[in-house]
Amino acid sequence: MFSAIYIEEEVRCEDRVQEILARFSEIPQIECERYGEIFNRNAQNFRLQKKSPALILAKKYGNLVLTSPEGYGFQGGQSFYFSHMLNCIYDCRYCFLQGMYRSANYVLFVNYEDFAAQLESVSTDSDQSAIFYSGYDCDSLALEPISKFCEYFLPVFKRTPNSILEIRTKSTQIRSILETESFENCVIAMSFTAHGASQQFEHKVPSIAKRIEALLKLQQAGWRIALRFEPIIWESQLIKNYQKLFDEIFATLDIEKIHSVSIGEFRMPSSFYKNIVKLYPDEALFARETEISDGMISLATKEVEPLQELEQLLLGYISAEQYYRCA
Amino acid sequence: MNNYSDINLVIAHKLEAELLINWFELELDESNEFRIYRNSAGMQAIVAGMGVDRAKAGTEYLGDRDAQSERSRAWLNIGIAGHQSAKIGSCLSAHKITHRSSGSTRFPALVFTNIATTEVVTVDEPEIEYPEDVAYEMEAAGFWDGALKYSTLELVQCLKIISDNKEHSTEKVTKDSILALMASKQAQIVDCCNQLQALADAYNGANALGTTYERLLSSVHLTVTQQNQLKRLCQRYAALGREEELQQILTHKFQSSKELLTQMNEQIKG
Ligand code: SF4
Repeated sequence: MFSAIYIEEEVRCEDRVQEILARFSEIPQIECERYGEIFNRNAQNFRLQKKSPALILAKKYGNLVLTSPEGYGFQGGQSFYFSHMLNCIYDCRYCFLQGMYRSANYVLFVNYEDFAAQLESVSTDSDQSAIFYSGYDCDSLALEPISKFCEYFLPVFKRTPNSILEIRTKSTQIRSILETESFENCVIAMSFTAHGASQQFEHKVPSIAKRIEALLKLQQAGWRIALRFEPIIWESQLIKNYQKLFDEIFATLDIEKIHSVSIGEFRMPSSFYKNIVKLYPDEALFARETEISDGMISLATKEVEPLQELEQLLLGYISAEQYYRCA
Repeated sequence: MNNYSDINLVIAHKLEAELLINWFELELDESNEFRIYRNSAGMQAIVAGMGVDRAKAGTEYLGDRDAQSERSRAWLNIGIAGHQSAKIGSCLSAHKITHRSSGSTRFPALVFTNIATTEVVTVDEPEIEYPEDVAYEMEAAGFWDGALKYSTLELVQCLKIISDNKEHSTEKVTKDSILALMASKQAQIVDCCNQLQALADAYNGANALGTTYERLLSSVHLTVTQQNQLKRLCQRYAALGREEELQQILTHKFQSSKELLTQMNEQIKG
Protein backbone atom coordinates (compact mmCIF):
# COMPACT_ATOMS: atom_id res chain seq x y z
CA MET A 1 0.00 0.00 0.00
CA PHE A 2 2.87 2.40 0.81
CA SER A 3 6.44 2.33 -0.47
CA ALA A 4 7.66 3.59 2.91
CA ILE A 5 6.56 5.35 6.05
CA TYR A 6 8.33 8.55 7.04
CA ILE A 7 7.97 9.54 10.66
CA GLU A 8 8.63 12.92 12.17
CA GLU A 9 10.90 12.37 15.20
CA GLU A 10 8.47 14.35 17.32
CA VAL A 11 5.56 11.95 16.83
CA ARG A 12 7.48 8.67 16.77
CA CYS A 13 6.44 7.64 20.27
CA GLU A 14 2.75 8.52 19.98
CA ASP A 15 0.35 5.61 20.37
CA ARG A 16 -1.41 6.43 17.12
CA VAL A 17 1.93 6.29 15.30
CA GLN A 18 3.12 3.14 17.03
CA GLU A 19 -0.08 1.38 16.05
CA ILE A 20 0.40 2.27 12.38
CA LEU A 21 4.07 1.30 12.43
CA ALA A 22 3.30 -2.06 14.00
CA ARG A 23 0.78 -2.72 11.26
CA PHE A 24 3.32 -2.02 8.51
CA SER A 25 6.44 -3.43 10.08
CA GLU A 26 7.62 -4.93 6.78
CA ILE A 27 8.04 -1.67 4.89
CA PRO A 28 10.86 0.85 5.38
CA GLN A 29 10.24 3.19 8.30
CA ILE A 30 12.35 6.29 7.97
CA GLU A 31 12.77 9.10 10.46
CA CYS A 32 12.74 12.73 9.41
CA GLU A 33 12.71 16.01 11.27
CA ARG A 34 9.78 17.69 9.54
CA TYR A 35 7.46 16.34 6.89
CA GLY A 36 8.37 19.21 4.56
CA GLU A 37 11.77 17.59 4.01
CA ILE A 38 9.96 15.00 1.93
CA PHE A 39 6.72 16.67 0.96
CA ASN A 40 7.73 20.18 -0.07
CA ARG A 41 10.94 19.49 -1.98
CA ASN A 42 11.70 20.84 -5.42
CA ALA A 43 12.34 18.49 -8.34
CA GLN A 44 9.58 16.02 -7.50
CA ASN A 45 7.14 14.56 -9.97
CA PHE A 46 3.63 13.94 -8.65
CA ARG A 47 2.80 11.60 -11.51
CA LEU A 48 5.81 9.33 -10.98
CA GLN A 49 5.35 9.38 -7.22
CA LYS A 50 1.74 8.31 -7.58
CA LYS A 51 3.07 4.93 -8.75
CA SER A 52 4.57 4.20 -5.32
CA PRO A 53 3.49 6.78 -2.76
CA ALA A 54 4.74 6.82 0.80
CA LEU A 55 2.92 7.68 4.00
CA ILE A 56 4.28 10.51 6.14
CA LEU A 57 3.26 10.70 9.80
CA ALA A 58 3.55 14.23 11.06
CA LYS A 59 2.34 16.84 13.47
CA LYS A 60 0.48 19.86 12.18
CA TYR A 61 1.17 23.22 13.73
CA GLY A 62 -0.52 26.59 13.51
CA ASN A 63 -4.04 27.10 12.27
CA LEU A 64 -5.58 23.67 12.11
CA VAL A 65 -9.07 24.94 11.38
CA LEU A 66 -9.40 27.39 8.51
CA THR A 67 -12.18 29.46 7.01
CA SER A 68 -13.63 27.70 3.96
CA PRO A 69 -13.06 29.12 0.50
CA GLU A 70 -16.02 31.16 -0.67
CA GLY A 71 -18.75 29.07 -2.22
CA TYR A 72 -17.54 25.85 -0.67
CA GLY A 73 -20.48 23.92 0.71
CA PHE A 74 -24.01 24.74 1.73
CA GLN A 75 -25.25 27.90 3.38
CA GLY A 76 -26.33 28.07 7.00
CA GLY A 77 -23.66 29.43 9.27
CA GLN A 78 -19.98 30.11 9.32
CA SER A 79 -17.99 27.50 7.53
CA PHE A 80 -14.54 26.11 8.14
CA TYR A 81 -12.41 23.25 6.95
CA PHE A 82 -9.74 21.14 8.50
CA SER A 83 -7.36 18.63 7.00
CA HIS A 84 -5.98 15.80 9.05
CA MET A 85 -4.47 14.49 5.83
CA LEU A 86 -2.92 15.81 2.61
CA ASN A 87 -3.42 13.85 -0.61
CA CYS A 88 -5.55 10.89 -1.45
CA ILE A 89 -5.17 7.21 -2.16
CA TYR A 90 -7.43 7.53 -5.18
CA ASP A 91 -6.20 8.98 -8.45
CA CYS A 92 -8.87 11.10 -10.08
CA ARG A 93 -7.35 12.65 -13.14
CA TYR A 94 -9.26 15.89 -12.60
CA CYS A 95 -8.17 16.26 -8.96
CA PHE A 96 -6.78 19.69 -8.12
CA LEU A 97 -4.47 18.23 -5.47
CA GLN A 98 -2.14 17.14 -8.30
CA GLY A 99 -1.61 20.79 -9.10
CA MET A 100 -1.57 22.02 -5.53
CA TYR A 101 1.12 19.76 -4.08
CA ARG A 102 4.53 18.84 -5.42
CA SER A 103 4.42 15.41 -3.81
CA ALA A 104 1.95 12.57 -4.19
CA ASN A 105 2.92 11.12 -0.81
CA TYR A 106 0.21 11.04 1.83
CA VAL A 107 0.71 13.16 4.92
CA LEU A 108 -1.29 12.08 7.96
CA PHE A 109 -1.29 14.61 10.78
CA VAL A 110 -1.59 12.52 13.87
CA ASN A 111 -2.17 15.23 16.49
CA TYR A 112 -5.93 14.72 16.43
CA GLU A 113 -6.23 16.07 19.97
CA ASP A 114 -4.92 19.48 18.80
CA PHE A 115 -7.42 19.48 15.95
CA ALA A 116 -10.24 18.61 18.35
CA ALA A 117 -9.24 21.39 20.73
CA GLN A 118 -9.26 23.97 17.93
CA LEU A 119 -12.52 22.66 16.49
CA GLU A 120 -14.17 22.97 19.88
CA SER A 121 -12.78 26.43 20.46
CA VAL A 122 -13.86 27.70 17.00
CA SER A 123 -17.27 26.17 17.59
CA THR A 124 -17.60 27.84 20.98
CA ASP A 125 -16.55 31.21 19.51
CA SER A 126 -19.10 31.03 16.70
CA ASP A 127 -22.31 32.82 17.55
CA GLN A 128 -24.28 30.67 15.14
CA SER A 129 -23.92 27.03 14.21
CA ALA A 130 -20.65 26.44 12.41
CA ILE A 131 -20.05 23.99 9.59
CA PHE A 132 -16.79 22.10 9.44
CA TYR A 133 -15.74 20.42 6.22
CA SER A 134 -13.35 17.55 6.17
CA GLY A 135 -12.10 16.25 2.86
CA TYR A 136 -10.79 19.36 1.16
CA ASP A 137 -7.14 18.24 0.93
CA CYS A 138 -7.83 14.51 0.95
CA ASP A 139 -10.61 11.96 0.96
CA SER A 140 -11.52 11.75 4.64
CA LEU A 141 -12.70 8.16 4.65
CA ALA A 142 -10.46 6.44 2.15
CA LEU A 143 -7.71 5.71 4.66
CA GLU A 144 -10.04 5.10 7.62
CA PRO A 145 -8.71 1.65 8.55
CA ILE A 146 -5.32 3.26 9.14
CA SER A 147 -6.14 6.84 10.08
CA LYS A 148 -9.14 6.01 12.32
CA PHE A 149 -10.30 9.52 11.53
CA CYS A 150 -14.00 8.81 12.07
CA GLU A 151 -13.37 6.71 15.12
CA TYR A 152 -11.77 9.75 16.75
CA PHE A 153 -13.65 12.72 15.30
CA LEU A 154 -17.25 11.50 15.32
CA PRO A 155 -17.36 11.58 19.14
CA VAL A 156 -15.82 15.08 19.03
CA PHE A 157 -18.71 16.37 16.94
CA LYS A 158 -21.27 14.37 18.84
CA ARG A 159 -20.41 16.40 21.92
CA THR A 160 -20.55 19.74 20.04
CA PRO A 161 -24.10 19.64 18.67
CA ASN A 162 -24.06 23.26 17.50
CA SER A 163 -21.39 22.34 14.92
CA ILE A 164 -22.03 20.42 11.76
CA LEU A 165 -19.41 18.09 10.34
CA GLU A 166 -19.50 17.35 6.60
CA ILE A 167 -17.30 14.45 5.57
CA ARG A 168 -16.67 14.70 1.84
CA THR A 169 -15.72 11.39 0.27
CA LYS A 170 -15.83 8.89 -2.57
CA SER A 171 -14.94 6.04 -0.27
CA THR A 172 -16.99 3.11 0.91
CA GLN A 173 -14.94 2.68 4.10
CA ILE A 174 -17.96 3.23 6.29
CA ARG A 175 -17.52 0.50 8.87
CA SER A 176 -16.47 2.76 11.72
CA ILE A 177 -19.33 5.15 10.97
CA LEU A 178 -21.80 2.29 11.04
CA GLU A 179 -20.34 1.13 14.34
CA THR A 180 -21.12 4.56 15.81
CA GLU A 181 -24.62 5.59 16.78
CA SER A 182 -25.84 8.19 14.28
CA PHE A 183 -26.28 11.80 15.31
CA GLU A 184 -27.88 14.80 13.67
CA ASN A 185 -24.96 17.15 13.15
CA CYS A 186 -22.90 14.94 10.88
CA VAL A 187 -23.39 14.72 7.12
CA ILE A 188 -21.62 12.22 4.90
CA ALA A 189 -21.40 13.73 1.43
CA MET A 190 -20.61 11.36 -1.43
CA SER A 191 -19.27 12.74 -4.71
CA PHE A 192 -20.25 11.40 -8.11
CA THR A 193 -19.62 12.02 -11.77
CA ALA A 194 -21.58 10.25 -14.51
CA HIS A 195 -20.59 6.69 -15.46
CA GLY A 196 -18.41 7.51 -18.46
CA ALA A 197 -16.49 10.23 -16.65
CA SER A 198 -16.12 8.03 -13.61
CA GLN A 199 -14.62 5.21 -15.64
CA GLN A 200 -12.38 7.55 -17.56
CA PHE A 201 -11.11 9.77 -14.80
CA GLU A 202 -11.70 8.23 -11.36
CA HIS A 203 -8.90 5.71 -11.06
CA LYS A 204 -8.96 3.41 -8.01
CA VAL A 205 -12.24 4.96 -6.81
CA PRO A 206 -15.01 2.54 -5.70
CA SER A 207 -17.65 1.98 -8.38
CA ILE A 208 -20.77 4.12 -8.51
CA ALA A 209 -22.88 1.11 -7.48
CA LYS A 210 -20.70 0.52 -4.40
CA ARG A 211 -20.88 4.18 -3.43
CA ILE A 212 -24.69 4.18 -3.72
CA GLU A 213 -24.81 0.99 -1.66
CA ALA A 214 -22.66 2.63 1.04
CA LEU A 215 -24.96 5.65 1.11
CA LEU A 216 -27.98 3.41 1.46
CA LYS A 217 -26.42 1.59 4.41
CA LEU A 218 -25.60 4.90 6.07
CA GLN A 219 -29.09 6.23 5.49
CA GLN A 220 -30.65 3.07 6.86
CA ALA A 221 -28.47 3.40 9.95
CA GLY A 222 -29.87 6.88 10.52
CA TRP A 223 -26.97 8.95 9.20
CA ARG A 224 -27.60 12.11 7.22
CA ILE A 225 -26.22 11.85 3.73
CA ALA A 226 -25.62 14.35 0.95
CA LEU A 227 -24.81 14.15 -2.74
CA ARG A 228 -22.14 16.13 -4.52
CA PHE A 229 -22.29 15.97 -8.32
CA GLU A 230 -18.89 17.35 -9.15
CA PRO A 231 -16.90 18.02 -11.07
CA ILE A 232 -19.25 18.25 -14.03
CA ILE A 233 -17.13 17.67 -17.11
CA TRP A 234 -18.86 18.78 -20.28
CA GLU A 235 -19.58 15.94 -22.67
CA SER A 236 -21.91 15.52 -25.60
CA GLN A 237 -24.43 13.29 -23.80
CA LEU A 238 -24.22 15.12 -20.49
CA ILE A 239 -27.93 15.25 -19.70
CA LYS A 240 -28.57 11.67 -20.78
CA ASN A 241 -25.62 10.40 -18.75
CA TYR A 242 -26.64 12.28 -15.63
CA GLN A 243 -30.24 11.18 -16.03
CA LYS A 244 -29.00 7.58 -15.82
CA LEU A 245 -26.96 8.38 -12.72
CA PHE A 246 -29.80 10.30 -11.05
CA ASP A 247 -32.23 7.46 -11.80
CA GLU A 248 -29.94 4.96 -10.12
CA ILE A 249 -29.24 7.10 -7.08
CA PHE A 250 -32.70 8.44 -6.41
CA ALA A 251 -34.39 5.10 -6.98
CA THR A 252 -32.25 3.65 -4.17
CA LEU A 253 -32.12 6.39 -1.53
CA ASP A 254 -34.85 7.95 0.57
CA ILE A 255 -34.94 11.31 -1.18
CA GLU A 256 -36.70 13.24 1.54
CA LYS A 257 -34.02 12.36 4.04
CA ILE A 258 -31.15 13.58 1.87
CA HIS A 259 -29.53 16.53 3.59
CA SER A 260 -28.42 18.41 0.47
CA VAL A 261 -27.49 17.95 -3.16
CA SER A 262 -25.06 20.12 -5.08
CA ILE A 263 -23.64 20.51 -8.54
CA GLY A 264 -20.27 22.01 -9.32
CA GLU A 265 -18.48 22.33 -12.61
CA PHE A 266 -14.83 21.45 -13.24
CA ARG A 267 -12.88 24.47 -12.00
CA MET A 268 -9.60 25.13 -10.34
CA PRO A 269 -7.08 27.93 -9.85
CA SER A 270 -5.15 28.45 -13.06
CA SER A 271 -1.80 27.98 -11.29
CA PHE A 272 -2.85 24.46 -10.25
CA TYR A 273 -4.08 23.76 -13.76
CA LYS A 274 -0.76 24.81 -15.28
CA ASN A 275 1.07 22.44 -12.94
CA ILE A 276 -1.24 19.59 -13.89
CA VAL A 277 -0.78 20.22 -17.62
CA LYS A 278 2.97 19.85 -17.10
CA LEU A 279 2.40 16.53 -15.36
CA TYR A 280 -0.12 15.22 -17.87
CA PRO A 281 0.61 16.83 -21.24
CA ASP A 282 -0.77 13.66 -22.87
CA GLU A 283 -4.14 13.73 -21.09
CA ALA A 284 -7.15 14.56 -23.27
CA LEU A 285 -9.00 16.32 -20.46
CA PHE A 286 -6.26 18.91 -20.18
CA ALA A 287 -5.95 19.29 -23.94
CA ARG A 288 -9.47 20.70 -24.15
CA GLU A 289 -10.32 24.35 -24.63
CA THR A 290 -10.55 26.24 -21.36
CA GLU A 291 -11.86 29.53 -20.09
CA ILE A 292 -10.36 31.66 -17.37
CA SER A 293 -12.21 33.95 -15.04
CA ASP A 294 -10.94 35.51 -11.81
CA GLY A 295 -7.92 33.27 -11.85
CA MET A 296 -10.03 30.12 -12.14
CA ILE A 297 -9.87 27.76 -15.11
CA SER A 298 -12.89 25.88 -16.37
CA LEU A 299 -13.61 23.84 -19.48
CA ALA A 300 -15.04 25.80 -22.39
CA THR A 301 -18.44 24.77 -23.70
CA LYS A 302 -20.55 25.88 -26.61
CA GLU A 303 -23.72 25.69 -24.53
CA VAL A 304 -25.00 29.02 -23.20
CA GLU A 305 -26.04 27.98 -19.68
CA PRO A 306 -24.92 24.38 -19.51
CA LEU A 307 -25.52 23.86 -15.82
CA GLN A 308 -29.09 25.13 -15.92
CA GLU A 309 -30.38 22.19 -17.90
CA LEU A 310 -28.71 19.81 -15.51
CA GLU A 311 -30.16 21.67 -12.55
CA GLN A 312 -33.63 21.43 -14.05
CA LEU A 313 -33.15 17.72 -14.48
CA LEU A 314 -31.96 17.35 -10.88
CA LEU A 315 -34.83 19.42 -9.52
CA GLY A 316 -37.16 16.85 -11.04
CA TYR A 317 -35.91 14.45 -8.35
CA ILE A 318 -35.29 16.64 -5.29
CA SER A 319 -36.76 19.78 -3.76
CA ALA A 320 -35.28 23.21 -4.39
CA GLU A 321 -34.51 23.49 -0.64
CA GLN A 322 -32.20 20.53 -0.88
CA TYR A 323 -30.20 21.98 -3.76
CA TYR A 324 -27.30 24.39 -4.03
CA ARG A 325 -24.80 25.17 -6.76
CA CYS A 326 -21.13 25.09 -5.85
CA ALA A 327 -19.27 28.26 -6.67
CA MET B 1 19.27 -7.53 -22.19
CA ASN B 2 17.50 -4.18 -22.50
CA ASN B 3 20.04 -1.51 -23.31
CA TYR B 4 18.70 1.18 -20.99
CA SER B 5 18.84 4.18 -23.24
CA ASP B 6 18.04 6.70 -20.51
CA ILE B 7 20.20 5.52 -17.63
CA ASN B 8 23.39 7.12 -16.35
CA LEU B 9 25.48 5.04 -13.98
CA VAL B 10 27.83 6.78 -11.57
CA ILE B 11 30.55 4.58 -10.11
CA ALA B 12 33.47 5.53 -7.89
CA HIS B 13 36.07 2.92 -8.84
CA LYS B 14 37.17 1.35 -12.07
CA LEU B 15 36.98 -1.99 -10.29
CA GLU B 16 33.29 -1.54 -9.39
CA ALA B 17 32.64 -0.49 -12.97
CA GLU B 18 34.34 -3.47 -14.59
CA LEU B 19 31.45 -5.90 -14.58
CA LEU B 20 28.84 -3.23 -15.31
CA ILE B 21 30.78 -2.26 -18.43
CA ASN B 22 30.74 -5.85 -19.48
CA TRP B 23 27.06 -6.61 -18.70
CA PHE B 24 25.72 -3.51 -20.39
CA GLU B 25 28.13 -3.67 -23.36
CA LEU B 26 29.49 -0.23 -22.58
CA GLU B 27 32.43 1.14 -24.53
CA LEU B 28 34.85 3.90 -23.68
CA ASP B 29 33.42 7.12 -25.07
CA GLU B 30 35.61 9.74 -23.40
CA SER B 31 38.65 9.71 -21.17
CA ASN B 32 39.46 13.36 -20.55
CA GLU B 33 38.57 14.54 -17.09
CA PHE B 34 36.62 11.36 -16.36
CA ARG B 35 36.32 7.99 -18.04
CA ILE B 36 32.86 7.79 -19.60
CA TYR B 37 31.42 4.68 -21.19
CA ARG B 38 28.41 4.40 -23.44
CA ASN B 39 26.51 1.63 -25.19
CA SER B 40 24.77 1.74 -28.55
CA ALA B 41 21.37 2.42 -26.97
CA GLY B 42 22.58 5.41 -24.99
CA MET B 43 23.23 4.07 -21.49
CA GLN B 44 26.22 5.84 -19.97
CA ALA B 45 28.55 5.17 -17.08
CA ILE B 46 31.09 7.47 -15.52
CA VAL B 47 33.92 6.47 -13.25
CA ALA B 48 33.91 9.50 -11.00
CA GLY B 49 36.58 8.64 -8.48
CA MET B 50 36.56 8.49 -4.69
CA GLY B 51 34.90 10.89 -2.31
CA VAL B 52 31.90 13.14 -2.18
CA ASP B 53 33.43 15.95 -4.23
CA ARG B 54 34.54 13.68 -7.05
CA ALA B 55 31.13 12.00 -7.10
CA LYS B 56 29.40 15.36 -7.43
CA ALA B 57 31.84 16.66 -10.02
CA GLY B 58 31.60 13.49 -12.12
CA THR B 59 27.81 13.47 -11.97
CA GLU B 60 27.66 17.11 -13.03
CA TYR B 61 30.17 16.50 -15.79
CA LEU B 62 27.98 13.77 -17.23
CA GLY B 63 24.83 15.84 -16.73
CA ASP B 64 26.31 18.81 -18.55
CA ARG B 65 27.31 16.59 -21.45
CA ASP B 66 23.62 15.82 -22.03
CA ALA B 67 22.29 19.27 -21.23
CA GLN B 68 20.79 19.74 -24.70
CA SER B 69 18.92 16.44 -24.71
CA GLU B 70 15.10 16.58 -24.81
CA ARG B 71 14.84 13.35 -22.81
CA SER B 72 15.28 13.17 -19.07
CA ARG B 73 17.71 10.58 -17.82
CA ALA B 74 17.63 8.36 -14.75
CA TRP B 75 20.67 8.28 -12.49
CA LEU B 76 21.93 5.26 -10.60
CA ASN B 77 24.91 5.26 -8.25
CA ILE B 78 26.24 1.75 -7.71
CA GLY B 79 29.01 0.94 -5.28
CA ILE B 80 30.18 -1.02 -2.32
CA ALA B 81 29.61 0.03 1.29
CA GLY B 82 30.20 -1.09 4.84
CA HIS B 83 27.32 -1.71 7.24
CA GLN B 84 26.98 -2.36 10.92
CA SER B 85 24.70 -5.38 10.60
CA ALA B 86 23.72 -6.12 6.99
CA LYS B 87 25.02 -9.38 5.56
CA ILE B 88 27.99 -9.30 3.21
CA GLY B 89 26.62 -9.28 -0.30
CA SER B 90 23.33 -7.56 0.58
CA CYS B 91 22.18 -5.24 -2.17
CA LEU B 92 20.35 -2.28 -0.66
CA SER B 93 18.83 0.88 -2.07
CA ALA B 94 19.25 4.12 -0.15
CA HIS B 95 16.16 5.54 1.57
CA LYS B 96 18.01 8.32 3.36
CA ILE B 97 21.41 9.78 2.63
CA THR B 98 23.21 11.78 5.28
CA HIS B 99 26.45 13.59 4.65
CA ARG B 100 28.16 13.12 7.97
CA SER B 101 30.47 16.13 7.92
CA SER B 102 27.77 18.64 6.97
CA GLY B 103 24.86 16.86 8.67
CA SER B 104 22.68 17.41 5.62
CA THR B 105 20.11 14.74 4.71
CA ARG B 106 18.39 13.65 1.52
CA PHE B 107 15.44 11.31 1.07
CA PRO B 108 15.40 9.36 -2.19
CA ALA B 109 11.92 8.26 -3.29
CA LEU B 110 11.50 4.52 -2.97
CA VAL B 111 10.70 3.34 -6.46
CA PHE B 112 12.27 -0.13 -6.54
CA THR B 113 10.19 -3.13 -5.63
CA ASN B 114 11.77 -6.30 -4.24
CA ILE B 115 14.83 -4.66 -2.81
CA ALA B 116 15.63 -3.90 0.82
CA THR B 117 16.58 -0.37 1.75
CA THR B 118 18.98 1.29 4.13
CA GLU B 119 20.05 4.64 5.44
CA VAL B 120 23.35 5.62 3.86
CA VAL B 121 25.89 7.81 5.62
CA THR B 122 28.45 9.39 3.33
CA VAL B 123 31.73 9.81 5.16
CA ASP B 124 34.91 11.63 4.22
CA GLU B 125 37.20 8.95 5.72
CA PRO B 126 36.53 5.20 5.71
CA GLU B 127 34.38 4.18 8.70
CA ILE B 128 35.58 0.99 10.31
CA GLU B 129 33.75 1.19 13.65
CA TYR B 130 30.22 1.09 12.15
CA PRO B 131 28.69 3.04 15.07
CA GLU B 132 25.15 3.11 13.62
CA ASP B 133 23.05 0.54 11.84
CA VAL B 134 23.47 2.19 8.44
CA ALA B 135 25.56 1.79 5.30
CA TYR B 136 28.82 3.75 5.22
CA GLU B 137 30.34 4.86 1.96
CA MET B 138 31.98 7.93 0.45
CA GLU B 139 30.00 9.11 -2.58
CA ALA B 140 26.18 8.98 -2.34
CA ALA B 141 25.60 12.51 -0.99
CA GLY B 142 27.74 14.08 -3.71
CA PHE B 143 26.14 11.96 -6.39
CA TRP B 144 22.63 12.88 -5.20
CA ASP B 145 23.31 16.61 -5.08
CA GLY B 146 24.81 16.50 -8.56
CA ALA B 147 22.13 14.35 -10.19
CA LEU B 148 19.25 16.34 -8.78
CA LYS B 149 20.28 19.27 -10.97
CA TYR B 150 19.34 17.26 -14.04
CA SER B 151 16.43 15.08 -13.07
CA THR B 152 13.33 14.65 -10.99
CA LEU B 153 14.21 12.92 -7.74
CA GLU B 154 12.26 9.73 -8.43
CA LEU B 155 14.81 9.03 -11.17
CA VAL B 156 17.83 9.43 -8.89
CA GLN B 157 18.71 6.26 -6.98
CA CYS B 158 21.61 4.70 -5.06
CA LEU B 159 22.39 0.99 -4.80
CA LYS B 160 24.91 -0.21 -2.23
CA ILE B 161 26.39 -3.67 -2.10
CA ILE B 162 27.67 -4.53 1.35
CA SER B 163 31.32 -5.53 1.31
CA ASP B 164 32.19 -5.25 5.00
CA ASN B 165 30.54 -5.16 8.39
CA LYS B 166 31.38 -5.51 12.06
CA GLU B 167 32.19 -9.20 11.68
CA HIS B 168 33.93 -8.92 8.34
CA SER B 169 36.27 -5.92 8.34
CA THR B 170 37.51 -3.90 5.36
CA GLU B 171 40.86 -5.66 5.62
CA LYS B 172 39.25 -8.78 4.23
CA VAL B 173 37.94 -6.90 1.19
CA THR B 174 40.01 -7.69 -1.88
CA LYS B 175 39.76 -6.96 -5.58
CA ASP B 176 38.48 -10.49 -6.18
CA SER B 177 35.94 -10.32 -3.38
CA ILE B 178 34.52 -7.06 -4.78
CA LEU B 179 34.22 -8.59 -8.23
CA ALA B 180 32.57 -11.68 -6.77
CA LEU B 181 30.10 -9.56 -4.79
CA MET B 182 29.20 -7.47 -7.82
CA ALA B 183 28.82 -10.58 -9.94
CA SER B 184 26.48 -12.17 -7.42
CA LYS B 185 24.19 -9.13 -7.59
CA GLN B 186 23.86 -8.97 -11.36
CA ALA B 187 20.18 -9.99 -11.36
CA GLN B 188 19.24 -7.35 -8.79
CA ILE B 189 21.19 -4.61 -10.51
CA VAL B 190 19.63 -5.47 -13.85
CA ASP B 191 16.18 -5.57 -12.25
CA CYS B 192 16.72 -2.08 -10.79
CA CYS B 193 17.85 -0.83 -14.21
CA ASN B 194 14.68 -2.30 -15.74
CA GLN B 195 12.52 -0.51 -13.20
CA LEU B 196 14.39 2.74 -13.59
CA GLN B 197 14.20 2.62 -17.38
CA ALA B 198 10.45 1.95 -17.16
CA LEU B 199 10.04 5.05 -15.01
CA ALA B 200 12.17 7.12 -17.36
CA ASP B 201 10.08 5.84 -20.28
CA ALA B 202 6.87 6.83 -18.50
CA TYR B 203 8.27 10.27 -17.79
CA ASN B 204 9.67 10.88 -21.24
CA GLY B 205 6.74 9.23 -23.02
CA ALA B 206 4.28 11.70 -21.52
CA ASN B 207 6.36 14.58 -22.85
CA ALA B 208 7.24 13.02 -26.19
CA LEU B 209 6.76 15.03 -29.35
CA GLY B 210 6.46 13.23 -32.65
CA THR B 211 8.29 13.91 -35.86
CA THR B 212 5.41 16.16 -36.94
CA TYR B 213 6.50 18.65 -34.33
CA GLU B 214 10.04 18.61 -35.71
CA ARG B 215 8.76 19.15 -39.25
CA LEU B 216 6.46 22.01 -38.22
CA LEU B 217 9.31 23.54 -36.27
CA SER B 218 11.53 23.56 -39.30
CA SER B 219 8.81 24.91 -41.60
CA VAL B 220 8.91 28.49 -40.22
CA HIS B 221 11.10 30.51 -37.89
CA LEU B 222 9.73 30.50 -34.33
CA THR B 223 10.83 32.37 -31.23
CA VAL B 224 11.45 30.34 -28.07
CA THR B 225 8.01 31.30 -26.74
CA GLN B 226 6.42 30.29 -30.03
CA GLN B 227 8.30 27.00 -29.97
CA ASN B 228 6.74 26.28 -26.58
CA GLN B 229 3.32 27.19 -27.93
CA LEU B 230 3.86 24.88 -30.89
CA LYS B 231 4.98 22.09 -28.55
CA ARG B 232 1.87 22.40 -26.41
CA LEU B 233 -0.39 22.56 -29.47
CA CYS B 234 1.18 19.38 -30.86
CA GLN B 235 0.74 17.69 -27.48
CA ARG B 236 -2.92 18.76 -27.40
CA TYR B 237 -3.62 17.44 -30.90
CA ALA B 238 -2.01 14.15 -29.90
CA ALA B 239 -3.84 13.94 -26.56
CA LEU B 240 -7.15 14.55 -28.33
CA GLY B 241 -6.37 11.84 -30.89
CA ARG B 242 -6.26 14.40 -33.71
CA GLU B 243 -2.73 13.81 -34.97
CA GLU B 244 -3.98 13.29 -38.52
CA GLU B 245 -4.98 16.94 -38.59
CA LEU B 246 -1.38 17.86 -37.87
CA GLN B 247 -0.38 15.96 -40.99
CA GLN B 248 -2.81 18.09 -42.99
CA ILE B 249 -1.48 21.27 -41.44
CA LEU B 250 1.98 20.17 -42.51
CA THR B 251 0.90 20.22 -46.13
CA HIS B 252 0.03 23.96 -45.94
CA LYS B 253 2.56 26.69 -46.64
CA PHE B 254 2.67 29.32 -43.90
CA GLN B 255 4.09 32.80 -44.44
CA SER B 256 4.91 33.29 -40.79
CA SER B 257 5.05 31.58 -37.42
CA LYS B 258 2.07 33.62 -36.31
CA GLU B 259 0.01 32.30 -39.20
CA LEU B 260 0.93 28.71 -38.34
CA LEU B 261 0.06 29.08 -34.67
CA THR B 262 -3.20 30.92 -35.42
CA GLN B 263 -4.27 28.19 -37.82
CA MET B 264 -3.46 25.47 -35.27
CA ASN B 265 -5.26 27.34 -32.49
CA GLU B 266 -8.36 27.91 -34.58
CA GLN B 267 -8.51 24.37 -35.86
CA ILE B 268 -8.23 22.76 -32.43
CA LYS B 269 -11.24 24.73 -31.21
CA GLY B 270 -13.39 23.23 -33.97
S1 SF4 C 1 -11.33 11.21 -4.41
FE1 SF4 C 1 -11.21 13.44 -4.29
S2 SF4 C 1 -9.29 13.87 -3.26
FE2 SF4 C 1 -9.20 11.76 -3.96
S3 SF4 C 1 -8.18 11.84 -5.97
FE3 SF4 C 1 -10.39 11.90 -6.31
S4 SF4 C 1 -10.90 14.09 -6.41
FE4 SF4 C 1 -8.86 13.92 -5.45
